[in-house]
Amino acid sequence: MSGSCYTEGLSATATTLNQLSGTGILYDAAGNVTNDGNGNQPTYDAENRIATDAGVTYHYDADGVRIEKSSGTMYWPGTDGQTLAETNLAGAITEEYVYVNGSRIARVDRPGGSPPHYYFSDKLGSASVIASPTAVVQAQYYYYPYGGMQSSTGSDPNHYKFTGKERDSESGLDMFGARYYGSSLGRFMTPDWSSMPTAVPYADLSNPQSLNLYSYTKNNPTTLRDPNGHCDIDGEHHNWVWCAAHAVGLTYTRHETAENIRFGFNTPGLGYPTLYKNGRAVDWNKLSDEEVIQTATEYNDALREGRVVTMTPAAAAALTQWGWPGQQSYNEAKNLLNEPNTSQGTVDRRDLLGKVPTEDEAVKMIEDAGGKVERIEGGHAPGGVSPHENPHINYTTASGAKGTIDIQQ
Amino acid sequence: MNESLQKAVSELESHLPELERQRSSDTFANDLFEAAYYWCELGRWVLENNTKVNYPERVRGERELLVKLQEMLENKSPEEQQRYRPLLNIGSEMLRMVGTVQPHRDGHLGFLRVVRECFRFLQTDYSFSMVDEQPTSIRFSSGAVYVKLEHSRDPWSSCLFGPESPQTKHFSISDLLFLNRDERYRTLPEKLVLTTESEVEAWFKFLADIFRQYGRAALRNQPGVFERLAEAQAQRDREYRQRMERLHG
Repeated sequence: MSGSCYTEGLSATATTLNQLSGTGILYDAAGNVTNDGNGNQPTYDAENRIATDAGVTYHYDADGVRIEKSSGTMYWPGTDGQTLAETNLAGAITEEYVYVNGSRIARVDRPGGSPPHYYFSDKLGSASVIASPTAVVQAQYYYYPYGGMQSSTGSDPNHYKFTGKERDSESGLDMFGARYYGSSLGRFMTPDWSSMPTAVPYADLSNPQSLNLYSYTKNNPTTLRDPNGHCDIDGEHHNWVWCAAHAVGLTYTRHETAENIRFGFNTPGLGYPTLYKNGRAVDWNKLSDEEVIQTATEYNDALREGRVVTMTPAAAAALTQWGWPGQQSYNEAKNLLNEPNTSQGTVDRRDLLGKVPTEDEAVKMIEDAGGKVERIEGGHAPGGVSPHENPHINYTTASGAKGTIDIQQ
Repeated sequence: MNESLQKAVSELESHLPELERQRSSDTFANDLFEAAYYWCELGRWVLENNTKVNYPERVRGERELLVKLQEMLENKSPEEQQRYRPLLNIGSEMLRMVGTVQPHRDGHLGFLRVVRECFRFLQTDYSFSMVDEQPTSIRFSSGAVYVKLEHSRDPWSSCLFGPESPQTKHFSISDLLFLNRDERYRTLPEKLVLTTESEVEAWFKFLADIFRQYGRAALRNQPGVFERLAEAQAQRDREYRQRMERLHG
């Protein structure tokens, strides 16, 4: 196999905490790199995020998303934490980004509305080629396995590089969301952390590399990518058990929960009610994820406490007053109306769980079950094929079977 | 076929007003009326392309009724025979036409296709067999446990399962959620109106996911699981009754 082989110059020993020693790299008590031996001497805030480095101060929002660099950039993230736009400190837009399925595909420089710059990425999501709308290559990047820049061509100002993460020009570090990554070291600047107390966050005991809290993608950089510094989904930090369960659809992020709720309330026919707040119908698409969950929780609480009845009060009361002592027994009785029991595949019932329904009850139950009332009749004289000497209702079920149910005199 | 079927439906319908007048005093006229009324419905459903109905199966039952009515007619007066024989002949011809209409392989709005796909794990992972298939319902059974899915307006009956026994007890997806303390049982819709294939797919995929998540013990008929489900069901019913009584006395 032909190709080039590169040797990176780092050679170091490590402590039992997997901190490098003898290379000029210094750590603070929390394990954060305070000097990377390459000129970076970052300081950290109380949450172990880099507060300053190379003369630039960083600010983060409540979710830990970096929103400002004092050197002149403000970031405007979307709901997934991806930067949708960048502005200068005065708020004037300088860049806008376009994503498809979570991948950055284009950038538009503002002001001026220049033609978009299109991003072509490798399988790890690293920006490899930036091109104009007429397919003129404006920049091309070649990376070492751990993200170091082997070479580049062109002069495009793009600063989203290895695995699509922003490479800070002032420090050369990559912003991975939860942590900063030093491609020259092939390591993160801070140890991995978890939102829950745990001995080794995100450890996978079948892979010893996962026990190294500074390692990038368990030291398998050509196959794996680290979306944001550890096992994060939708901006949430979870352990591997949770992630594995999520992969097969057993657990949901807050965003996914909100999406499920939106789906339920927005899909006609699923039976979700229209909710009103302050006299206006709730527009689920205009609420943030947290607002969606909060609204649905309020609704559930109200339902549980009996403050909201989504069916009419009369209908709800009827379920108990009509003699089926609860939702379950009502359902069981209603089910009998759909159950074929004759050679013609039809139902022919005198009662429902021992109770002969009234006309109103029977009509409601037939209609609830999706059937159609054909005729409400008095008793027929004896001697017919299917004698009904008592008042009864002829109906058809939702699937076209015909049925008869006696009703009270 | 549609033209001749439409003609047969119209002809049969033309007999209904007269039969309706006589049915209160003549039991045979009543039987004919009820039969002809339903046969007209069957014919109209075919013309409307109603995909919910299993026509051959419905017609099998109606043919038994037709034979019975023909036998009864033999014992009637010559005048009655002359009056009603054309009606039964049209009915017979119409049932023949309706009986040739095969249900769609994928069921109503793709229901069968969706359920076969989403619930395939019942057969591959739990050794269930499909024991009945209708355009709007499907029933799986392992011999000890059944699972019935139905395209229904009612979330409760759209998915029922329980032990196979003479006194079959029905459990619903909300029982499974409640037993597993999954709060989604509170947000299940009260009514379903699944009018497109994508709505059918979304709902039954949702049900299948819940079964995969919580259904293992029930599907394997593990000891005590249906007792626990019955207790969960009873507890929910108690809560429901209390709420209704508090609200409405």
